[in-house]
This record gives sequence, C-alpha cells and structure tokens, in this order.
Amino acid sequence: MNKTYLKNDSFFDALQNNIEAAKDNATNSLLVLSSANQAVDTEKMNALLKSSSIPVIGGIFPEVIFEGKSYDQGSIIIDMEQEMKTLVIDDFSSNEAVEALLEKHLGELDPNGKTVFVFADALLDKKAMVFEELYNLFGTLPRYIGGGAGTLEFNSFPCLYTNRGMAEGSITIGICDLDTSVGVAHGWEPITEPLKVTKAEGNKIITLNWKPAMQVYQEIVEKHSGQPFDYDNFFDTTKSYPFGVSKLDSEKIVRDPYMTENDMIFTLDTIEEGSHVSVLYGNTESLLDGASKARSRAESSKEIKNLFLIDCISRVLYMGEEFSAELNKLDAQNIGFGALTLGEIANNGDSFLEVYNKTAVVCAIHDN
Amino acid sequence: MTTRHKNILSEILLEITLVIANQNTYDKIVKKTLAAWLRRLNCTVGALISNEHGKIIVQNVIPTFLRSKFSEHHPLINAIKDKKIEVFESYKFEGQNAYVFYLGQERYFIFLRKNELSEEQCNEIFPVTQFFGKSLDNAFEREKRIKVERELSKERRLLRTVLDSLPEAIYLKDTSLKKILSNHADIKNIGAATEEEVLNKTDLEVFPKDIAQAFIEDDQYVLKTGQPILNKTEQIVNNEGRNEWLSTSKYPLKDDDGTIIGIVGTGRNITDQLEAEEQIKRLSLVASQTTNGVIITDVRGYVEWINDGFTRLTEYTFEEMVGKKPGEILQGPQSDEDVTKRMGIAIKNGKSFEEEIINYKKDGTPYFIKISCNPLRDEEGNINGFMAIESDITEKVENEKALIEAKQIAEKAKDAEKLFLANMSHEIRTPLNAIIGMTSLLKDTKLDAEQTDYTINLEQSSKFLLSLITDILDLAKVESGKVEPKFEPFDLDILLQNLYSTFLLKANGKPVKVILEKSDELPSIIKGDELLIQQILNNLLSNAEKFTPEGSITLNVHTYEEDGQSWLKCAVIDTGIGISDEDQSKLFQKFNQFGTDENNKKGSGLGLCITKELIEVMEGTISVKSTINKGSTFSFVLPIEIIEAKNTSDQRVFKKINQGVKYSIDHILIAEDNLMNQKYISRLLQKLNIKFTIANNGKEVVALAKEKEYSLILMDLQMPEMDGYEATIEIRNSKNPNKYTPIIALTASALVEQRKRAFEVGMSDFLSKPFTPDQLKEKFSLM
Repeated sequence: MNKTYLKNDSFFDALQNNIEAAKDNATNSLLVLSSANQAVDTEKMNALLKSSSIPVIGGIFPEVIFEGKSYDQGSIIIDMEQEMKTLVIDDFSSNEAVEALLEKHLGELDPNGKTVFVFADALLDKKAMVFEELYNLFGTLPRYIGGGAGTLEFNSFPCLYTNRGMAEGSITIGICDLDTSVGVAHGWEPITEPLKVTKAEGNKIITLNWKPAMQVYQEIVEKHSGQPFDYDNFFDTTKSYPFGVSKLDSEKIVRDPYMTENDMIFTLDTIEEGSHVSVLYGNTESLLDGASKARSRAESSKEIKNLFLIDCISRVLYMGEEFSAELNKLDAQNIGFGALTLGEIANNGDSFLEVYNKTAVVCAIHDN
Repeated sequence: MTTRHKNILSEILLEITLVIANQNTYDKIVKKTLAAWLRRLNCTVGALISNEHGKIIVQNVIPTFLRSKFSEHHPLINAIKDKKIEVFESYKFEGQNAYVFYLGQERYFIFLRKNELSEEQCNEIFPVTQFFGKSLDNAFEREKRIKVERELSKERRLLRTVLDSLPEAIYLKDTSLKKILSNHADIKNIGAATEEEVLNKTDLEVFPKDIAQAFIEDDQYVLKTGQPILNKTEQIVNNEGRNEWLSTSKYPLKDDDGTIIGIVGTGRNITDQLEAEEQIKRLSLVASQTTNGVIITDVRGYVEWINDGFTRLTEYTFEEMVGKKPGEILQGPQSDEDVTKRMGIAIKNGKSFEEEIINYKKDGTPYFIKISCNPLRDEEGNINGFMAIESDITEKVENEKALIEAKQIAEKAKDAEKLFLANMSHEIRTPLNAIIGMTSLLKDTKLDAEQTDYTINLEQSSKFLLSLITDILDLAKVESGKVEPKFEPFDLDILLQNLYSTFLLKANGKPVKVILEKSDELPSIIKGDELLIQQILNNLLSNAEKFTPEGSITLNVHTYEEDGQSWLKCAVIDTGIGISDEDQSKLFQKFNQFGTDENNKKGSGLGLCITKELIEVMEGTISVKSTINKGSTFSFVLPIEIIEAKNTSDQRVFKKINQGVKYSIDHILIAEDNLMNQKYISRLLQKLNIKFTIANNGKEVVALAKEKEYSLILMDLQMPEMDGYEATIEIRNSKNPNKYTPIIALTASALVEQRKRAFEVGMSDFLSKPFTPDQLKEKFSLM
C-alpha cells in the first residue's frame, strides 16, 4: 500500500500516472480521497476513470486526513496491491432490486477476512436500504469502512470515484482481501431517557412520544443548556445535542439534526419509526475520549501498518482548533490517511452495518 | 447486568415487536424481524429454521452468505435435533454465544452474538420470540387460508362459468322448494335479470300461480318418491309475455347419507324446436297441395319425402320413391345425359341448379320437366339434404318447338322472297336492258317516219316499264323491312355536288336553272345512310325536274340542332306546275299520279311513296307545300350525327377513289358475261368514240387489268368464274396499273345491299342495268 498526498493541481496527472503505471508498480486497485476544494474536471476525469484497467474507488469529502493533518485542499491516492471487486449501485427502486444486484455481483465472494470499502453520496436517502441488504448478504464476516461523500454546501454533484466515471446519487462498494480491524466510537452521552420515535419518514422525525418532535427536542435542549433555543443558528445550537439510537451492548448510533421545519427535525441519516432515541450531549473532552476509544477498539494483536481514518466533519466544526488533538488521539504516529466525512460507515465485526454521525472510525490495516 | 441494559433491552424488544406487527406477509416478517433482531441486539447471525417431521428446513439466514453452511450438519442444528427445546437454550459456538428460541409449531429462532446474554435477558426476550412465532403461525395460516380460498374461489368460478355456459337451465332447490342456485339459462328462461331475483324464492313468487302450482306438484313428487321426472314439456311465460316451452327433468338431490336434501332441475328451452316443427307441418301442407312435384332427399340424394303433386305428376307413390334415387326411376332413353351428369355433379358439390329434362311417368309416358334443386342446410350451415321442385313444362316445350318451326318456315319464306326479288330484278332487267339499249341503237339507224315513231314509243314504254319495276322493287324492299339504314360517316359535300352535276346535265336544254344552296355552317362529314339520302334527293329532284318546264329547281340544305340532336334539313324547291290541295293529300299514296297533262305522267306513281317510306325508315319526316302553277317545296328532316364541321374533313378517308375528279376517258375495260349487254355497251362506246376491251368474267378482267392502265373499268357484279366483287378486291389489293382506276359496278340487281357491298370492296360508282346511253355518259362526266 502506497499513499500520496497531492495538491490540487498535481492530482489529475498523478492519478493518470498511477493508473497508467499500475501494472508496472504492481498496483491492483486504487483508493482515491479528495477534499472539497479539489477541482475536478468531470469530463476529463470520467475519461480517465473509464480507461482505467484497475478498480478505482473513493470520493470527494469535506476534508482529507494525511499523516496527522487534515486538509481542505488536495487529494490522496492510495495504491493497493490487493485486487478489489467493485460495484456501483444506482437502482434503489426496492430492497429486492438491491438484493438481486448484490447477489448477482458479489454473491459468489467469500467475505471472510475481507474488508469492504463503502462510499455513498451523502445526499442519497436510500443508503440504509443498501446497507441492510449488504449486511444481510455478508453479515459481520468482513469489516466495513467508508463514509458519506459530498461537501458542507450539501450540493448534489458527482462526488464518487468509480470505474464508470464520477458518480452522484449512488453508492460504490469495493471488496478486497485486506486484513483490518475497525474501531468505532463517538463519546456522546445520553442526557434523556429513551424517547419513542412515534412517527418518522426517512431522515425526518415527525413525532417523539406522540408529540411534535421539535417541541420535545427544544424543551430538552433548553432545559439542559439553560438557554432559549436559537432557531436562527440551528446548526450551532444543535451541534452539542445529537440524537442517539439505542442498541444493545453498544454505543448509541448518533444522528445529527441539521434543520427543522413545521416542528419536524431533519437528521443526516434515517431514524426508523418505532425505534427509541435519546438526546445526547458531548464536550471536547468526551469527544476526545471517544476518539481514543475508537483507536483502542481498532487495536488487535496484529501489527498496524497503516491507518484509514474516517471522522465526522461535524466533530471538526464542533472542536475547532482542538480537532488536532482528536487527530492525535486517532493517529499518534501520523501514519494514517483518511477523510472527514458526512456520515461514517463502519462495522467493527460484531454488529450491524451502520451509518453513523458525529463518530470517529479507525481502520487499522495490518497488510502492506 | 445493569439497569441501563435492561431498559434498553425493553425498548429494543418493543421496537422489534412493532417491526413484527407491522409486517403483513410471512416472508416479510421473517426478513424484517431477523434484520431487526440482528441490528438492535447486536447479533452476528440470525436464522429461522423449522423441523418438519424430522427434516430440518432453513427458512432464512442472515447473512445469507452463511445459508449454505447452515445445513442439517451444522452443530447448532444437530443440537436442536438431539434435544427437545421447549423454551430456549444457549450454546457456545466458535467463540460466540448462540441462542436457540423455540417459537412453537416446530420452528426455532437462532441468533449468535459476541456478548453473552443473561438468563434474565433471555427470559425477557422469550415472549417477543413467542410473538414472533405466533405472528409467523398466523401469517402462515392466513396465507394458507388465502391460498385455499383462492383455490376454492377459482373452482367456484370455474363451476359457475361451466354452469352459465350451458344452454340448458340448471337449478337447485332446497326441501322448502326455494331456489338456491340458478344458472344463466335458468335466469333467462324465467325472464329475470339477475340471480338475486330468483334465489331464495319459491316458484309461487316467480311464476303465475297456476304454472307455479304445477311445478310445485312435480317438485313434491320428486321429494316424496325420490323418483326423477324426465323430459316433461312445461309451458312458461317469458318476461316479454310470450309463451315458451321447456323440456324439464327433475332429480332428487341427496347428501352423503342418501337423504333427499333438495331437487336438481334441468330445463331445455324447446320453443324454437316446437315452432320449427309447427312451421314444417305448415310447409308440408303447402308442399303437399302444390301442383308442382316436391322431393326432399338426404345428402346422398336418396328420397326422404315427396308431395302429392309429385305423385300426380309421375304416378309414383311415396312408398315407391322413398329411399331411392329419383334419377334412377324417372329418367330414361330420351333423358339428356349431359343434363343428368350436370345434376349429379351439382348434388355432389352441394350446389343449387336449374335444369330441364325429359322424365318418364310410371306408365312410361315421357314428359318435360323443369327442376329447381337447392341444398338444405342445418343450423351450422352444413348440407343435410336437397329439395327439388319439378314442374311439368311439356306444353311449354311443345309451344316453343312449334314457335321455332314457324320461325324457320317464316325465315325460309323470307329467304325465298329475297331470292325472288333479286332474281326478278336480275332476270327482268337484263332483257329490258337489252331492249332499251337496242332501241337506243335502233334510233340511231336510218328509220322512216313510221319506224321512228314506233321506236320512240318502244323506247318510252320500255323506260316506263324499267322505272315501274325499279319502284315496285324498291317499295317492296322498304315495306318488307329489308331496308335497314346503316349510319356511317360520309362526305355530304361530295354527295350534293354529284347530285347537282347530275341534274345540271338533266336539265340541260331546258329553261330551268338548277341551284344548290348550302348554309355556311354545313358540315363536311356527317353520319347517316349516304345511299338512302342520295336516293331520296334523287327522287325529289327527279320529280321537280319532271314537273318544272321552266324556272328553277333549288336544292337547299342546312343542318340544325334541337334537344341535343343534330338534324339535316333538305328542301327541293321548284317553280313547276304545282300540286292542288286535293292532290297533296294523296301525294304519298301508292300509284298516285297527279296532274292533268297526260304527258306529265312520266312515273310509276310510287316515287314519293318510296321517298316517304325511306325517310321514315331513318326516323325522319317529309312535308310538302305547293301552289298550282307556282311551284312546290318538298322538305324533309333526318336525324344525323355531325362528325366534322365544314372544311375540316380528311377527304382521303371518305372520298371514294377518284370521286369528284374529272377524267378524260381514253380506254375502258368492260367486264360483262352477257353477250347482249356486251354488244350494247360496245356499240354505245363505239358511238362515243371510246376505246374498250371486253372481259368475259372476273378472272379475265383481273388478268387484263394487270397488263395496262385503263381510264375506267365497268364491272358486272354477277359473272361466272369470279364475280365482280372478288375481281375488284383483287385489282385493288394487288400490284397492277389499275389499282386506283375508277370501277363502276354494273348490275341488274336492284338490291341496296349489293350497292353497298360494291362500295365496300372498293368500287367507285354504281350503274343499274338497264342503263341508257345518257346515264352512262353522265357517269363518265362525273369521273
């Protein structure tokens, strides 16, 4: 595995070189992570990606992480000697359609000991359908890691690197024989009893405990912060108070609220009707603690040769300059690479494949 | 185990319960619930298996990738087989904790997780697994029931479709005689619109009381005796108030124990059948009464039925005819075999036919019949027999025969008459020609006064006789309808010019001016009978010439159009002696000669009569205006067709060869077999100082024509070896110097047909024998 950070202007040529020289360099697949400010000429990039003889997978994220630092410019190219089987999913008409597609392309693969890279357009609201079917197929047998692509402008654009070219509104999956361990943690703690999600549609919570969701949420936040709810700065007001979906023997799955309308609350990823959520609260200390947990959960007896870090961009926004401390917790040796994402996709090998918000994911890579 | 965990587990179990409850099919419950269990209970594997009579069926596994591994040999499944689990069991399996929950109905729910669950947690989970199992049972039962109901409903629909498709009415009645089933045909028979109008009702509620009562009595008989009633004809009144008839059968409906629980009824509507039978009866009556013979055979032609008319006609009885082929009995030696064959083929092919043939009665008398035979078809249109109507046409055939014979006799008579006329014409004219000719020649010899007087009388009498014969023949032809006008295009200009020239010559020496007046628009070519028109004008102009001692004779000709028809109007105006009013009324009668002056009686008295007849033959009319001593005007109109307007005619087409062209007569070739005529013509030409060569028949004339060019050929029509027509055709169509030489036909025959034929074969003019020297000179002048 060979990783390179490239500035904006040298990225395309470098990628072209890497693709063209792949066979000579014993590169069998490419992982590409770009920051939001990486200018990409979609037409040229499409031609390049389509011409590639080796699988390419990756995306454009708000920022990238390279050897202990985060960058809002440039891209990272990771040459991998592992062969990879990739698949782009863009038909979300039904669970059955996704199931059939996965079965057709990946059904014959033995997922044992493998690592599955999953990158999704963050604005796609059918992510959960794909993860459910992917998990139904492979279960906990492989490790999963990936994240939501896009930028903080939440604009729709081709944000995924695939061998079909740049893709949007899709999910790209790559399976390779890479020995990894995954740790997931966030450090947010519940400040309420579980609230029943009595009505929800996709990523829209309509009622909690049979009451308008925003009213319930506002009351809790105001009570905890001692401040009147500031609707004008919804993101700032809510960044300390995400929702957590309950799960047995595991940290809660964080759902990040980002807007309200008609007393409904919109979260970055779906919350199922009938599930129970708590309002969570965190501070820098607890979040750093979460990062440490993520790192330690990725530890195993095996040697760590590289680190693939997926961390939530909202943790950067929350911690500000103190985020470097988080990076230090995640990768003290500054050996890793990764992305600050809009939703973190991971499974640590003993639970359901989830998309998380406000969460740190560490994937320790034991192979070269 | 912490309180927090307990609370979370409760929440999660509640959520899973909701997930289960929200699914509506067995498959969805399985799939969604397994996923929810795995997700919320943090499990690595979830499976639903069932033990069906010792056989383990894996219903679902998540992840599905493991399905193949979750076989009967999987250690966990073996554990289930070995041990009867009634609540739940936990096992250690490949470093994980496996939990097996019994769901009831031999179903097991297995999940694996890394963290161990306490017994308390398992106990808390158990009721939800039971709810899971119950829901599966319910869904399974529901789906099974739905499947069965669908099957039943399908069967019911099928049965109903079959029942409703049957043309026979079928119904069921219970023991209280209420209808519990009624198919379409039954509903229709009753006159109801829907089944609801019939069901749960007795016949008393549906039919008029008297009819219903009869039905009920039958029903009660079946219920009481257990005996069916078969094919009973019942009358009902349909919803249009019309009587209909049913052939009804009723059977007892029995349950498994043989107890009568109702009645099954069937009813076939036989109204059409009965009406058809009635109609057949009526038709049979009609057929039996008709005087014509009627036979009905089967499809192979064997007699099935005959009527009385047939027996009257043939004397054969029904018993004698039935099962036999009519032809074999009725036809005999005089029967036309071709007709018999045609009839056989038509029957074989199922076709209708009409033929006339001689048949024989039983006593051997032949008779003529006309047979009209048509195939009989069944409702599907298939031929199932034939019906023949035979009418005796013996009398008709005999009448026709007599008619044909009469016609033949008449035609023979007509031919004889025609031959007589032609012969008379030829036989009388030929000697007369000689008489006239010789008289003319005699006049030129030295005669004393007495001889001269005798000669003049002889000449006048013979001329009169010729004119009389000519007129009698013409009139006879017209009256016998022999004159059939032929409407063909001809050049009116040339006709008029020729007439004008002729009468200019005739009037020569008399103080009479001959004038031809033609309107400016007079067409050149018209369609009409040229010869007849010429004859009419000739007659009128001759009359005028005869009766006009001085002054003028004007021929005025013009055409006009009336009601889309073109007409030719000719007027011959003279300044002659005129005709009294009294004479005018008798003018067109036969043998009517008028005028007081004996010298003026120059004709047969038939000329105007013939003229009128000829005009009328052409659908024209003639009129006269006359004043004594001032003159007369004879006008006639004839329908014509204008072909070409003035001066646009292509005269090459219509002009006869050399017509209208002045020829200098140098050397004439004469074809004439009669020696007297040869002599006469020879003398005449010698006197006129014209060279001539005589040929005795057609062959000779053709041979001579090939040798040198003549100025003119005079051609007798009736000659031995080769007649004048053939000779002309030969001359006109072979390479010789006389191809375009004028040929004048000479014949004693007065028939118009001969003149026409002469022109058709290419002759230029026509001169009737006997002709006078002046007539011959006149022809020369026209050449």
